[in-house]
Amino acid sequence: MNLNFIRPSWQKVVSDLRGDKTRTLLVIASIAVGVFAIGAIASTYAILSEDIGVSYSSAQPANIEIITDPFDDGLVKTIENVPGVKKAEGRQLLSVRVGQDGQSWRPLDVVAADDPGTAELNLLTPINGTAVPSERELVVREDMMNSTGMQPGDKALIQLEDGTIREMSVVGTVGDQYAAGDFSAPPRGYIHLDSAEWLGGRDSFNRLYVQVDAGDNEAVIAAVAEQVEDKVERSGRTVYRTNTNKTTEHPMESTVLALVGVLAILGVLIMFLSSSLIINTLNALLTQHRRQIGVMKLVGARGINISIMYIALIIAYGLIALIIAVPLGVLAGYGLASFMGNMLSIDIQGFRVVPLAVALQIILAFAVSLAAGYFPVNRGSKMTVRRAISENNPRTKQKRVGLVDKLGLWFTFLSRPLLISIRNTFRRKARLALTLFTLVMAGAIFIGVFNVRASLAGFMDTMSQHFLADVMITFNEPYRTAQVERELLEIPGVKKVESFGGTGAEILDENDRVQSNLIIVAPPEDTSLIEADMVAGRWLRPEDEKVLVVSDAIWDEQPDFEIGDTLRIEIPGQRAEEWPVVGIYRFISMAGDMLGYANYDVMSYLTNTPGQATNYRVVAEMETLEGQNALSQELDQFLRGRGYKIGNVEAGKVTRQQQSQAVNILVIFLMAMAILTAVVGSIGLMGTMGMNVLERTREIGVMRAIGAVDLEIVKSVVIEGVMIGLISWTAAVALSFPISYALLNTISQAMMGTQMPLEVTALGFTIWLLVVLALSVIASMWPARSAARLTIREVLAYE
Amino acid sequence: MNPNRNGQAAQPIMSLRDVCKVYETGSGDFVALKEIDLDVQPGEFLGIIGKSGAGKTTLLNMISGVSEISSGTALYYPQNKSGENGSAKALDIGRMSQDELAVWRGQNMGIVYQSFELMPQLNLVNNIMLPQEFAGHFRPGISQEEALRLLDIVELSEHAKKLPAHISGGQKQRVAIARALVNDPALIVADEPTGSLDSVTAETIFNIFAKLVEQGKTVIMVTHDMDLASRFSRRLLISDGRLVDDLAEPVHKDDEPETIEVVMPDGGDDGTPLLANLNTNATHDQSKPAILLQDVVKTYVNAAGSFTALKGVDLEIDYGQFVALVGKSGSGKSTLLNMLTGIDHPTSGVVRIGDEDIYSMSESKRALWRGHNVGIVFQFFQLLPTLSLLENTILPMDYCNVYPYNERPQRAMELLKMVGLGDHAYDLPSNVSNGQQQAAAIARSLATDPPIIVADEPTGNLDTRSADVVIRVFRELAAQGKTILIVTHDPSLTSRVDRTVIISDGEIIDPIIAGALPSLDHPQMLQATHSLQRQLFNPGEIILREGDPVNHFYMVGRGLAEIWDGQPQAIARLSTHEFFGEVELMGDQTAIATVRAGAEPVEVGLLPKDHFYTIMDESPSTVALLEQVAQDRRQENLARRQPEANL
Repeated sequence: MNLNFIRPSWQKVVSDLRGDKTRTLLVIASIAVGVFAIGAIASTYAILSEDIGVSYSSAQPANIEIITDPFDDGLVKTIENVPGVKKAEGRQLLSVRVGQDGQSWRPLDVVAADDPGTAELNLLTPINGTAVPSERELVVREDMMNSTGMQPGDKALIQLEDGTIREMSVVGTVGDQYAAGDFSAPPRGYIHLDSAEWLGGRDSFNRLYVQVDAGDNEAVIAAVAEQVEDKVERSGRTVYRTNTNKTTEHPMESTVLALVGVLAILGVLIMFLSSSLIINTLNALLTQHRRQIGVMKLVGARGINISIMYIALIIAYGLIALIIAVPLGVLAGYGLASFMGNMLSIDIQGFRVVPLAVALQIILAFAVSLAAGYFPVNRGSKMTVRRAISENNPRTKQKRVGLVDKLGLWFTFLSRPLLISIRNTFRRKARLALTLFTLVMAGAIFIGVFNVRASLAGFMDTMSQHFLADVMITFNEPYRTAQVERELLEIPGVKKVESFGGTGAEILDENDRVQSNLIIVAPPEDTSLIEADMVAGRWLRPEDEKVLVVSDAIWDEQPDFEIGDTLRIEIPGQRAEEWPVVGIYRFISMAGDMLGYANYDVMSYLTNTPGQATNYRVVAEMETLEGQNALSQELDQFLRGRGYKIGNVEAGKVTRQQQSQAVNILVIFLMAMAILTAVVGSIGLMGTMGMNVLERTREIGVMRAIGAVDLEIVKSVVIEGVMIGLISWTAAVALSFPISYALLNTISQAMMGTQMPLEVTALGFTIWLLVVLALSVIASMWPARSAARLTIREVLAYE
Repeated sequence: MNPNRNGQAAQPIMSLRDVCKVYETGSGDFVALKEIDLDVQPGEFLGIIGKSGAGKTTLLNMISGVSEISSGTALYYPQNKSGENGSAKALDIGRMSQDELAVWRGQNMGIVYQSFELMPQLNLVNNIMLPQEFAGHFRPGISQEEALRLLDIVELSEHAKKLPAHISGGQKQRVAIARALVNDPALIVADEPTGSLDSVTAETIFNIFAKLVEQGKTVIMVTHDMDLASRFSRRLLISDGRLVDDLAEPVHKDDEPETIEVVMPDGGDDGTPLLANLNTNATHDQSKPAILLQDVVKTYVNAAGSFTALKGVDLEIDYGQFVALVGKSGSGKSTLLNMLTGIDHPTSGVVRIGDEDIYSMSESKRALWRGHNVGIVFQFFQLLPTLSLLENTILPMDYCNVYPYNERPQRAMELLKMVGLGDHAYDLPSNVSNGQQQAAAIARSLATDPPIIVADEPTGNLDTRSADVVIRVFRELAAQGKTILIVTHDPSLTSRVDRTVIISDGEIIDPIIAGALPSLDHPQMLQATHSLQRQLFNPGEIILREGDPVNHFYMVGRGLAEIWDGQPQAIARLSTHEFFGEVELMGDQTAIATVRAGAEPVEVGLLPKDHFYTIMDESPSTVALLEQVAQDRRQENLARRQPEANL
């Protein structure tokens, strides 16, 4: 390339950029990693926050959902006349079991709409095939967390409660934004109302969906909901449950954006870490160019000339990093948004570049690299000529003897080669500090992610014991507990059976208006399956009458609620009563309705099913998923053979596994960020070791000259790398506790609306120890091998 | 004030008054320059000559504003374009900021260093244009033309687009000179500009400077090469930080440096052995040489072409010998040292150290072999900065796994005490003086008790007294059976060694030439070596018969040559380094006496008479020596014949 028209100093900048490709790549990678991370996360945030509302409102979501007794179009039309109601539609929801091989079954919630093609509320987003099923056709919901795995063209076997099996054609897969957010709900299918009876349902609705005119006004929605409930009740039907939400607010919006926010914090952290790499690399560059700077000053360059050249170099690094990081960030941002959209049934509007994210990337690329480069460049430009050009600098000021220098005196067993490695580790303290900062942060985040994962899993386990056992049996009608328990215990593999009663209820305010829904679960008094994490008060006692133990979600509704206070509870078919609360346990507020516990006897009396229950939880002898699955199938066949009307029989571990998916996806995101920080850390370590060796080639030559074989040279460098790794690991272990706590707090508040207890797992510490050791060895092996390959003549440069 | 080239009194271009430079070191202040008074006249070619460490580079740094002046003043008198002092006010260099100094240097001064210092990323044209850009004079087309013109002056225009890595050292130095001229400075300073170059290239470079002076530039050149002294228009000797105006004047030998870097071993000053406590293992197979080099060639090949640093060197050194390897910078002495320490590969030839063909081993194995067999003392000490002196001394024992682990510190301490560093054993290298570092380096070289010690300029950075102790240590080691090889360009050391090997342009100078004609410069010695024929004469055999024509100049290499003049007994005996035939060659070329081998065989070096006459033309100092000897011999001959005639 002919560059003669360019000033020599600019040509030097271009040559510096092209000359040392490894160093250039190192700086560019350092800048690009951070800029990429920020760009990707900012794009994701922008796309999701923009699309989530648009997507949700485009699905015409209902603002009010009322679960009630069967009704027909007549009630729907009546409701449409209620002031403020824009549109009302009915649906029927029936629970069946679905399978494909006739052997294994899983629950399926089927939503039946009268003429699905003309439905105007809770619109489905077609993914594959059609979203409008005809008679005896099935459309299934598909998103990352809720899928049957079936595709158009597949045959679905539907098992009705009486054991009848129907075959349906799967004609389409759809997204259902209205149903998003309930991680524990079973997969959904959609049918024409004409198929409902054929599937054991009725030719009517049991869900009323209402859209109000002012869909963004919570107060209006609540007021309309009250009127609608009133109308429904006046029609002689019982309202079992009412849900409300805004037209433009996706049920998962705050959770999604909060999670992206967590990723953004990690992105900013990565940016910081990468800036420490830039400082280190530029410091080394300036040290390497010390002599050149001296010569330029000798031939007339002022400090400003030097500064401009190196600032131009930094800008060039930033520019190249941008060229790499912007498109990658845009792609990754859209990809991440699409992934999360798919996961949560959000319809992402299409590929686009987010100008704000790109602007942020541009600002950060230059601002961070220039800020990082300021000190090295400033130091370089102010260097005196004599210092810059002095070869050996033999007349230097007295060096203070530090602690590391005294190691040899204290620990005489340390050999001199080992002392060299130890002292070299602490020789460039600023560089070491920056490298450690990067590695320690990377390690702490890495370990933190494992701790968060363990905490989430632990929390999920704690939570799931409120719902899950080894095998859960749900009958479609109550059966006598003594009989069911006796029969089940006769089956080999069944260790224990507990019968659970319960009902849906409403918490009312002082004016008897519904404040929120409450699910009351009534375990047997000697239950060993529920060990609630009590945060206040106590657990139920056998002698308790109408008392409740409720979840800490009560504080979301009533922040001043205390043990001993009462809740006004209305159980269907009963009049409202004050129930004292004797205990509050930790739970997730976003897992659906509030969950409360009452004594079985009390509840079975109130629900008119004394000595009976519809839910049974079985403790299996086998602890494996396969064993429990096999037992659940055996129990299913057994009970069916005895004529029981079975709603569902499912192994708890299967459900638990499905629920874990959401957490796992989050953990994957966090892990990706942790790996990204580990990458930054390893780039940092490799850069540091490379620079260290480069600066010590002369000493390596001397070591060679006095008898050090290849192995000794490699050892001395690798030990230094490993020492940095181990120091960073120790510090990372210490820092991982607050990082884990902060990370978990942010995530748990965003996801679950509660503070989860931190669980520390040795896995993270062990894996990071192995990773950091491997990184240290790899990062130092490369410069060490280069060092060992250098001939002494090269390093001592005699001629 | 000195007159200028035209004999007119002129204002100096640069004036230094009472300039002192003090460095802070680990062991106190070091005074590098003492009360320097110097006026540099416009148009003069000023040579500042001194040994390593004398302060000459420091002085140059004071002149160029590179280093801060501790006390005194340095004034620069701006010149107008015609090269005369302008009316502008003198600039006080000591009061300028770094940026002001940079601008001042860029506009007024061209600087050339020994190590070229070109920007490796820029081609030659851009290297030359760089100072123009910094001075704000860069004009794309015009600047390039000017750069090409300057490259043409230094005869490198055909390489204009090459990178510095693709040209030779001499060519780089020419580019550096062209760069120094680009802003048309009035003053050019050069620090050992020929120091790294072979003699022919060095001559070319020196001539370029001489030409610049002819064109009106002022040139200050720093060098340690006394041979160049006569070629400056004015020369100053610098020693221990002081300037001496006239080279003929004795240096202030009595003046001790203000800070003496003393190596003071236990004992020694009173004549007792310095190494009395040192246990050495000096049992070697004495039938074989310690070092044997046969036809060793070393050629470096790079993008600029190939350069042969060693041209078929044969060398044999026995155990227990204390040998000085002498040669100028760029002569190949360090390359030779690298060959016999296993640091660099020969291109061809054999290097045997003791019984080992060291280049049949891998680099790694050779490192271990070296640790056991060769102790190396580097010019710049090369102690590992993170280890104390004691640890530095133990390190080779650790690497080579010699001596029981627990005994190593004790042995290292003994070695350090031996070189006078017992009290500093736990100090880091940066906390002791240069002399002490060199002493520690010597202790380290002895750590594994190697049979051979090689030292590269071991006294180059030491004051006289420290250097003396170092040489005494080496002498005692040699006496104990160790082979000591030191590389030096200090001729004064050669009198204190068993043997001197001179190397010039990659070839060993025949010791017969070096011994007989020491006032020849090295290139002349080398030429003579090329012409020399060695001949062995048996006892009594006639070497030269009276009355026969004389076609050679004869130099005795070994044995005794007897001169006979018809008497029953030889009238004189000539031993090693003595010569004959010069009287005849300066006369009628007929032998005036008979010369025959004595009782032992005699090896004689024969230099053809044509070469003898070439020497007579080129080396006035040798002519003076030969004429003196010839005159003495003629008088002796006359005196001998006179009584005969009277009889």
